[in-house]
Amino acid sequence: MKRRIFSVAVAVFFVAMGLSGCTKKAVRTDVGVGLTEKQAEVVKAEPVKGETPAEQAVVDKSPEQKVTGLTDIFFDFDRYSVRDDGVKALDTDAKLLTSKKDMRVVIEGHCDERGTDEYNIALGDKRAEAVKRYLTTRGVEASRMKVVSYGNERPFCGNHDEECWQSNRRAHFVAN
Amino acid sequence: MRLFISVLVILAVFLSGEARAKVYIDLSAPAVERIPIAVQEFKDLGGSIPPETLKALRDEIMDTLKSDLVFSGIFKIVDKEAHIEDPKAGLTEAETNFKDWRTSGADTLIKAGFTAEKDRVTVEIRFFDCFKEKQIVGKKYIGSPNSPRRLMHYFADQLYEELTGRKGIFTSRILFVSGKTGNKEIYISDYDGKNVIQLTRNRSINLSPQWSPDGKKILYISYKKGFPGLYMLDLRTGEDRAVSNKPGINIGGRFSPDGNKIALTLSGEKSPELHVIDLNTGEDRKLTDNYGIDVSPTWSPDGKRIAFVSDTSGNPHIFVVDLGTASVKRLTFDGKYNSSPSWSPDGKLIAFSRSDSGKFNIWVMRANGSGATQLTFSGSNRNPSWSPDGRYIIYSSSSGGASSLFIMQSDGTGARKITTGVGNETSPAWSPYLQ
Repeated sequence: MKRRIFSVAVAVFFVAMGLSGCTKKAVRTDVGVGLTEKQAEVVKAEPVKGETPAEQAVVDKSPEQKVTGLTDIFFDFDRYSVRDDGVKALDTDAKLLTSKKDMRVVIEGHCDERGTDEYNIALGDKRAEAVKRYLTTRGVEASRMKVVSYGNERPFCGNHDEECWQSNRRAHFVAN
Repeated sequence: MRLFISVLVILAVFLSGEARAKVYIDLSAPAVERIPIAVQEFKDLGGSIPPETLKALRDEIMDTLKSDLVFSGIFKIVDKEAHIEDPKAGLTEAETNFKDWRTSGADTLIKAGFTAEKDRVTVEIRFFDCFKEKQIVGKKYIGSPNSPRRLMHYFADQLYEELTGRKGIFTSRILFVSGKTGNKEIYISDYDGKNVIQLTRNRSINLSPQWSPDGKKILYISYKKGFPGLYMLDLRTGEDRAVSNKPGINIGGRFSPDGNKIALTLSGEKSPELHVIDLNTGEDRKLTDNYGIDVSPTWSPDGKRIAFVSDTSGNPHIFVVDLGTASVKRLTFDGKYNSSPSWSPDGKLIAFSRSDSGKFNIWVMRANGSGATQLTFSGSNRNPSWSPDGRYIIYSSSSGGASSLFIMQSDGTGARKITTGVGNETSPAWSPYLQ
């Protein structure tokens, strides 16, 4: 029977934290069943250290939101056009914003859970932008409004029914 | 931040008596019965760890191997109770009583011995054909005791390739998202859900992880600066950098097959449009220009086309853009909501999720949009991602509020839940081959 090492494959793998520094050394091993391993390269395995340290949290889970007095706007499923009830609310919001010249707001775009993550982030962006655009036509300076889409990531209501979904399809005002 | 290099090392040596088999099992043949395989209890060949640890290690590596063998679709495990060969019999072909194994109902057999030390585990393992009474594959692996499972995944890959002529997927990994800590963070695990590592810890929202073609980097969406930005994490060095952080949304990044470009959605001050940015030159090419939503790109394996989701026809549908001519073609016409397209590794198919009622199912169609076929039928199923060999699709499935990961064969059969131990997993992404 031929005793031959056909190949020595050394595969170094990543992902697991730990640290660098691979030491190479040649080893000779005799194993219990009469097999002799010829000189083979062994890369020393390093111990796995811990996991990544927590990074600074930038987005707070539930930021304390300053009351704006502005009315949120609600949308139909998979739509980003402002409905008639939304137009009314936005006209009132516009009056408040034009009267308070120093007020700056973030318009958050939100979606219900019935969709896919990436599409919903885009949809939330469209909703918030639609609100911003409308308010601009009503005399609110665009520079006072910032848009952030949360997609379906920050629902206002956690149930899985239409009442909840409607509540989650909205543009929400937060003081900036 | 200090880097993660992980170092798991594996050394494979062919053991004596190697019979260089050609293709042993033809996967393209019509479905054949699973081959009975006996896995003899791995022998302790000496070492320096306490007996309890030894037993746990043996159980873990044997379970890993059996699970890979079953997953392969080729084998079924012969019940241990049926083994009749004297347990003292040796590990080599000459020392094996093949008649006993045939009597046990085993057409094939795996025998292995292992040595466990504090800093490394050595496993020598052999695969025999009990009828030919021959060793077909023999290997020896030396690796870190921190992830002994990977030793068996390496063997499974090599056995699979030896028998079928095709690369195995057992050393591949998956990325996924879980909100289990209270925030959605990105995780990585082996293909079977084990060996989990949490990759992000920024306590914001992290979404949609994607692999680089060489498996060394990932792209992901993060709200760590307060809005959706696209980031790239180097899995070896731990270097994490912003790829795109413009005002508006920066989402859905996917590496081109050559790794030099990234397709993504940017909204800027206008509307979410698809772009391709060149990582070397910084060049930014806008692919779509409309009032609607254009998201979730997936590259054809030849890098010439990108399929994506657009609502320009009223509802979310899948379109494809030819990067040479910039012409756009619509691929789906049915379903109220078509999303998360994923191009198969051979370029022939596109998997996607479709909904008519709010519940999604996984579908596949030809890359030209024809032949759409539904693959899942219960729960709500999203985000399909192909195994590197194209034989399997991983996806997330939810019923009620909780979500978990499932792997099925690409024809929709054999769906099985992948247990990571993290819980509430979504958005899986299957790695390319990692060797």
